[in-house]
Amino acid sequence: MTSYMGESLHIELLGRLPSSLLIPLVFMLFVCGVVSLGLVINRLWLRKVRLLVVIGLNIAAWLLLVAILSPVTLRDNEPPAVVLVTHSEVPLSEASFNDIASDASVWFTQRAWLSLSQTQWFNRLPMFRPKVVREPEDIIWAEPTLQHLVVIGDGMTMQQWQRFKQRKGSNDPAISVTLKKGSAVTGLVSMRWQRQLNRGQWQRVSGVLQVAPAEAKGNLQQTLYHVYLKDPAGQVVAQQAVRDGETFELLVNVKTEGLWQYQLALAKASDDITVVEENLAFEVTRPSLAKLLIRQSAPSFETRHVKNWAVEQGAQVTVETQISKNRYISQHANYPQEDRSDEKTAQVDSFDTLSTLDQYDLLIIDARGLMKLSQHQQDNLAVAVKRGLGVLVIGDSTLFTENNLPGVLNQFRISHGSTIESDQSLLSWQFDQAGEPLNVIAADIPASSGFSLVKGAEGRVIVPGIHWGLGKVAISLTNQTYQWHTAGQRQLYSRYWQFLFESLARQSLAPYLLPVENDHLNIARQPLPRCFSVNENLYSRLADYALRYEGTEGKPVALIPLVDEVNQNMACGVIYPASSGWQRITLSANEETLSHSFYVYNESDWPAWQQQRKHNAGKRMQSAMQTGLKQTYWTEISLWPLWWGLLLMCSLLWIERKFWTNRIDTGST
Amino acid sequence: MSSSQSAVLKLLQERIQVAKWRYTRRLSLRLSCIVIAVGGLSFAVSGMWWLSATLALLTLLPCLLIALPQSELKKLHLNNVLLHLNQQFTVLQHSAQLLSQPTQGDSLLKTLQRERTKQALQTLLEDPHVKLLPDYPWQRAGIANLLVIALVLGGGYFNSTTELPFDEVALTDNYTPLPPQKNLIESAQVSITPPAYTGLPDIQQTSLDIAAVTGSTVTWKLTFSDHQQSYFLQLAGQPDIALLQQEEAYTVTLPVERAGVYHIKNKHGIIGSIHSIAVTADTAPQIRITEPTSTISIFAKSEQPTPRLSVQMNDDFGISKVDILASVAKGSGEAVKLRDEIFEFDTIERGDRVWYAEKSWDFSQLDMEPGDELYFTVRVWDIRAPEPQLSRSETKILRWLDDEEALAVGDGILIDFMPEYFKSQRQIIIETKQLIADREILSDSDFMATSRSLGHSQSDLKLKYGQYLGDEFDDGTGATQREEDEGAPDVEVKDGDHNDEHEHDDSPQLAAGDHSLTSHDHGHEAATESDDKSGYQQIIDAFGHAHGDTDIGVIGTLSPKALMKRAIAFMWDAELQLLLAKPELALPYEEKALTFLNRARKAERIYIKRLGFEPPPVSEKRRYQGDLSDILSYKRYRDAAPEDPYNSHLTHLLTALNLARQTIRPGTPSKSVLNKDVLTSIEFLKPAFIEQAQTRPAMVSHVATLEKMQLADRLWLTECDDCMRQLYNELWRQLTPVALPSQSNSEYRSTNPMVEAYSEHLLNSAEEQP
Repeated sequence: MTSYMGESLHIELLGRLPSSLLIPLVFMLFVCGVVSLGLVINRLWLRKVRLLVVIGLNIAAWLLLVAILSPVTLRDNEPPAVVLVTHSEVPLSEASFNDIASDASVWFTQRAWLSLSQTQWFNRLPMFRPKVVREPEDIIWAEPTLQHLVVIGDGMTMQQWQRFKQRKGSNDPAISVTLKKGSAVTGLVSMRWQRQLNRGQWQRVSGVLQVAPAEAKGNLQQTLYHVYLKDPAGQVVAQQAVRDGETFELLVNVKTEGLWQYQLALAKASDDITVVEENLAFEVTRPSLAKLLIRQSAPSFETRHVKNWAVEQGAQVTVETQISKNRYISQHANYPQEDRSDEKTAQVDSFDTLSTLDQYDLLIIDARGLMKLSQHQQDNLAVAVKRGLGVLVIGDSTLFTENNLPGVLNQFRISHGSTIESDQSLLSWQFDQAGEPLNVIAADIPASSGFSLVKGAEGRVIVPGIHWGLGKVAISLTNQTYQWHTAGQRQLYSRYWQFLFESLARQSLAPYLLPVENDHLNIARQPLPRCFSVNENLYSRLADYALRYEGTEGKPVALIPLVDEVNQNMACGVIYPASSGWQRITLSANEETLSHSFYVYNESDWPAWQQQRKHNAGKRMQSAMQTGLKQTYWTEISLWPLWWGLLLMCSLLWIERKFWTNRIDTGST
Repeated sequence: MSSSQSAVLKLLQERIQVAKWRYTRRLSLRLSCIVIAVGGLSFAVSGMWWLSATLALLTLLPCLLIALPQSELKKLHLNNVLLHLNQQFTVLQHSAQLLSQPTQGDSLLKTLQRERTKQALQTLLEDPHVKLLPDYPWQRAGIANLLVIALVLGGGYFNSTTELPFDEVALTDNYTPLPPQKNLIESAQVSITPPAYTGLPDIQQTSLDIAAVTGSTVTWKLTFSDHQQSYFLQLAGQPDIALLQQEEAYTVTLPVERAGVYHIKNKHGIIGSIHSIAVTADTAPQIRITEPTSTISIFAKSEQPTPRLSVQMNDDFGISKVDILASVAKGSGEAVKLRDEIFEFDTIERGDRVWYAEKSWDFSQLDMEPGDELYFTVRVWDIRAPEPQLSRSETKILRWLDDEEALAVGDGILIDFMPEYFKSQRQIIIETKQLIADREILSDSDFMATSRSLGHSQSDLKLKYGQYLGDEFDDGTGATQREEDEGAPDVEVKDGDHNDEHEHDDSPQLAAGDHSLTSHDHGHEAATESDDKSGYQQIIDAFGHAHGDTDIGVIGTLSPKALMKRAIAFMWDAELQLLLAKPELALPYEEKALTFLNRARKAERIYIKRLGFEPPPVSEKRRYQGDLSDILSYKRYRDAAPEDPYNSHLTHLLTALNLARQTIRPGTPSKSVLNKDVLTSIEFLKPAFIEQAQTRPAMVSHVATLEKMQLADRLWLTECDDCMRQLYNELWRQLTPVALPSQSNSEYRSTNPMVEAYSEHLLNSAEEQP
């Protein structure tokens, strides 16, 4: 039907009629109008004044009916607001509700209503009737036509906003969002820590201190806080002094496998009274161990201690030591009985066949041994590295005297012919630093597009590395790290080599249950995606894997994972933890089972962090919705006056028909 | 009313009384059944008799109120009975009530009828088979009563046997549920009498957990609920000690020397809980020489030295005596002459537990000349009885140089660096032989003391050589050496915790090759070596002592360093045997050490004072000369050396406790029982903790906790939450993490085409770069 669109008026003629029956209904309307006019003329032809009045009333009624059937909208710069009151960590005050228009539709989330309904000032407010939604995102179901949402309180999480958007539908008009955030609460926000670690690794806990505005004022001492990290035995293992908005970073070396809960406490420096104490949960697992090949032209203390350490920890190790010209002793440790061949076999050179090299994850080789490799062996090594093998070359003088370096060292810019001297340096790597200096080769080996694993105290690179296909190659300019071991610093020594192993060795091919992301906060009754990664294309092999979730009640639930659209080796399923506590996810494939535990927090845990996440999500969603928002709003005029008018017209016509007709009849008789 | 009539009525009245009594009996039994059930049940639940009695009474009253108004006692009277009889027996012709009516003025017919009825009733009363009144049987109610009583008593019995608490809560801090045991310790009195020399007062306590000083006498005085049995005290791992009965009390007195746990028992089993004995050892005196600070003080020839000796000594209970054992050495090399003397301090400031002493040496009074050396050790005895403990300080050396010797302290000379104090290896051998020869004439104590003294000399020499060879882990601090009681050899010369045992990996023997991947298999290696006809391998093995482990350094050559390492390895063995007072066994090692030292001297090589020396590369041409065709490559397989069992058990128990701790709910007992692995770990850790308790008395409480866990067969004792937490914290504290040779992991796999393409791109771009 035709419509009119003016600057401030929009009429859609008979727009309320169903489009499929539009023509017959319009025809009927027209016919009814004409017929009634005909009847009126016929009846009142002799009484002209009354005829005009009755025809006027009929036309007015007819027009009102048409107006009722035609939506009329007027331009409006401010649409009616729907107010959603959400939970706030800082209790909401009466002032939060002052700006709400009296005609606004006000909804409460269940949690917000429960806390507000217990306050006296709230019960005095006359305007609110308890309209409650269970979850904040349900507001879109309660108010399907909402165009302007005012959120009071901390707001919604990003997941809740996403569900809100999904439910809204893409064709619906855009919604403007106004946030009336609750005050910030004192606590730790923007937290990051690893949810899964290996034994001996460093746990790095970082975050930002957020202080409530009322408490952020005062002198330096009054605004200073201490963040303490306590181990499961209750001992403080790391601490840092911070002020509002400052970041902190705490380090702790995890001890052994298991599910551990450390405590992160925030205390005011002035009185050392704990303000907040939060639970820091993570799992320490035993990782898959690298298979090590040590090749050496002569025995050394360095390789001996590395070998002993790796063997004691259960890794499979092969040591090939040259004992004469082209003769080697090959020692194999931790090999299962079925993998052992005849000990008298003379063939011990792993470099002769590529398939043998492919069995190893990391090769430690002294530079002299590397130079002695034949061209065929060097080619095999280069291919193996491209396929993922890691190589650590224990550097010595031959690196700087030999002219023809193997291909795997091509990317290192080694200056030849220089006089090699030894120097002392304090080594540092990742989060560790040695206390005693070690002898290192006083040389600088830059590499194109390389990386540095270990540095000296003065910033010199002690272990430079490069990527070579899927593998990595690094050169160690020291062969003295065993001195830490002999000096009783076994932990430092093991951490150094663990770092090198993890950095260089071939990536594990075993199925892998991805841990929860470092900055994610798992809250009960919130969806949590759990993913796994395997070494094959899951589009075709997904059926071979069974992913199960086990909550605190201990009943396993099968999940239906979906393959990631980008990464075909990864699939994810979504769980909804019912309660807080340790939960477990299990991946089964080919009679092998892999499990990973993770901790789910309660709604009342990490209040400051939760608040910050909601505030950030609100801001992000506000700006995202702003972009698709039209600046003009159209408000439909109310139909009540039209209905009243129609009723009036009909009443007058009925009165005319009822009383005046009788008079006429009486008069005539 | 005639007399016969009244006799019949009297008989009937008697019957009515009997019926009343029977009815009362049945009602009583029924009510008692309910009351006993209520009372018994409430007592079983609450254990409070007054509450049970009240409840029973409160039950009885409403029952009576309900039962009595409705009872048939009211109905059992003569008129009712006569009416009842009328209905029951037709022979009475509905005229029985006539018997209870007065006879005066009756008509003849009425009189005849009464007579007839009287006769009939008389007959009925006399017939034993006729039931005139209801019987009110009581048997069922009686049986029900018996059943209820049996149930109540039975329930009470089982309840008391399964949940019988150790009611003497005051006796123990920690309450532990016990296995079935009726007997209880009613009271306990423990008297601890510390040794007199400590000056500590006696302690009286009711707690059975004991903390005492070594040598204390402890008397237990216990009374038990059952006086008819024999009771025993059992210290862990030791035979039972019977408690002596004195009237109602049982006593036993024991000297306490070692920390441990114990329990009281009778023939049925343990009574009460596990208790601990924490023993604080009387430590030997500590000596700190504040002046001179260095081990060797050197004075120039031109000086007239008057060095000063300043010493601080302390002991936990007091010092009894102090002196200086000094030796003046004249001459040099094998011709050195030693003169031993004992000196007193010039001044001694005696405190309760700390003494300060000073002495000024005057070389001229000691008849010393330039070139001579003075070695001295401070000796301190504490007041321990019966045998005082003797501590000796490190030995300090005062050297008065002459001109030639001034050059000998120059840098770098390794072999002839020794001050004369250090007995030469040859001297140690001579003295060992002398000691063996003098065995018959020396007392056991002198023999041991001399042997141990030689052991210390050997140790000093070994440490001194080892220091120059880079044995970093030998601290060489010359810490106070402690003279132990005779007959208690102590070969542990280093102070340290358990981890030191593992660190022995760094000892010179092991550095020289004893530490191979696994246990040795000589026979197997012999078979392999038989293929090698060149003899090279034999040389490697002979000098390497490597048992096939080749990666222990090139020691096939006559390297002085390697030879001295060999010498030191033998010195370790010699020292061990000397400290064990077995000089015969030490002698071969001493001689071998001397042999290798002499070979090192002849090697004409001078080594700098640092390990980590990297030999210059040997060219292939120089390295491989001669016929190499018989040298073979070979392969060997080894299994991993087992992980440090202490750390392994520590980890295992901690992991299990951690899991139990996180799954337990407050207020509910843990359901996790001890599995076999955890039990093994507990059994392993208990003796280790007891050993640690000798120096750290607090450890004994953890042993007691482990015992309690075993007793309760539960992983987490909720009723003893504090002790469980302390144990947990201790395990956590002791655990030393060792990182693993792990691989990295990622959601992006190398087989992913994206990853492959990216790596290829990186490779190509790197190759394109100049």
